[in-house]
Amino acid sequence: MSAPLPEFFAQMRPYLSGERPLPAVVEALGASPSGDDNFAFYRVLAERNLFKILFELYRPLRTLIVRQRSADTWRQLVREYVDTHLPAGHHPNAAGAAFSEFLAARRQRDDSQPTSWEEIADFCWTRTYVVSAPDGPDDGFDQRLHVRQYTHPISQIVTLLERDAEAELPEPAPELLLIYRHWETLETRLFRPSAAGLVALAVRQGLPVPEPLAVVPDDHVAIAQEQLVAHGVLSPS
Amino acid sequence: MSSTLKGVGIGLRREHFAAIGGCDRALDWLEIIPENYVGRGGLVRRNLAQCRERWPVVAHGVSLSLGGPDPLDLEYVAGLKQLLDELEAPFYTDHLCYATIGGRNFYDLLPLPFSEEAVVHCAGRIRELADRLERPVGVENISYYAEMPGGSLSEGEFVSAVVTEAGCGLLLDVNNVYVNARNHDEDPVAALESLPLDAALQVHLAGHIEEGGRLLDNHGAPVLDEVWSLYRHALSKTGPVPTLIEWDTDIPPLDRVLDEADRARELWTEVAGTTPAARSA
Repeated sequence: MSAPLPEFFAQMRPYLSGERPLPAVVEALGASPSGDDNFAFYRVLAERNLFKILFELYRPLRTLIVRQRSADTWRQLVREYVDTHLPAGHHPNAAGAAFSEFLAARRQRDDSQPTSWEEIADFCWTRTYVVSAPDGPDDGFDQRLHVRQYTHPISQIVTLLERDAEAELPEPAPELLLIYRHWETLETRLFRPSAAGLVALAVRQGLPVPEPLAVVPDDHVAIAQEQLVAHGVLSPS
Repeated sequence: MSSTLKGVGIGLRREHFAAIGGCDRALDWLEIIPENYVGRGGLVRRNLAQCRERWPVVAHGVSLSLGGPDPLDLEYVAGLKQLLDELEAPFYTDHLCYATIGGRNFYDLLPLPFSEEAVVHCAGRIRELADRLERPVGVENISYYAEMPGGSLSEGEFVSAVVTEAGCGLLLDVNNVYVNARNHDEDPVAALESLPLDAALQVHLAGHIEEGGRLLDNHGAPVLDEVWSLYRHALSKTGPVPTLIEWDTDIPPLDRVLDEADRARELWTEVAGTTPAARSA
């Protein structure tokens, strides 16, 4: 008598997740007519798929981690992440969406972990996200435009790592960055806004201007807004 | 099972976005992976809209987990229906497999036990999907590297029973037939003929690699000569079913994919006795 389908799924979930060994599954469900080696290959595939997704999304980060620590460190991080963040969502990239948050939380427990890791992860994710972020009302401002304040020159670090795994990296320095999809050409771009530019963004979004920026003169804001439009950050109002 | 689709298409991949607009070679239709479009915007949607102006477009999903235990994701299915309506897609195809258990997606096409219970389970979900999408659904015979415990049917019997019980179409993946036959020491022609070929609404052709003593269906190589032969045999049984070239890893330039499509079109035309364009006229 074979196991009913619900029992099959109850066994396969922990098996494919690496939480239950094959012998226990075989004991519960019976052996595969194709043999244990072929049955075991599905666990290999399941893990390989998740590693591939994380690798594709965060390739520069992996390069840096392998360089600063080891390939084992990268594998350990991915395993920890997958164990604590249910891979879900129809698009594979969704499985990697919380990697930056995971790294930030992990740094609270391990102060030897560099801040740059979570910042690189955030940059990589945001850069990928804006490419196909939903088209919103008007020019899709809320989804296709993201403001970031990093403690490292992350965009430069990522560019260098993508070009050369051994490239000399710049010293930590704050980076204020817009990661966005051009409202008209739909290309993914970066822009470093001025204080006046931040005010122009707040105004366009209908948000109150933060106190420290309230002193920026209106004519500066108007010029900054023209620049944002010229770079495709904002559509002409 | 007939549809308005004719001839030979290719899978639309982002690697070809820049080249596809200037394509002046024979290309009858395109297939997309809808997970790359549902709920998403930007260049992928603009490019899709431009392609749709030139070619018929159908969608082939990878994530609905039609054989899985979780309820269908109705929010996603609604978005999928909207996309299919926009494309005026005559049908929708996905895989006869599961991918998700208890909300956890394994991002793979995982085989079910070839059992009567699984037949009933899958057929009910396929019928529900077809109702929600308001169009026919076809299911693809997947590559499987291990037969799951608990089965009592052969793969051919399983697929045939699901297709009959669900009243759905078959997306006949000829490369999968070949890969499975080789991996499980079966005769490819007999394996092909055990499938419900009279329900075929589309054919897939792709390449595979060898890894660790087994053939791996990775869609990352040219179609093998043995698979071309099997395709010719398949067409002799099904008639001129619309055929797709899939190339998803190590993707070459568009022209190389279209070379494969040309080869498929020669065989398709031979069986149809006319070209896809003439058949549409």
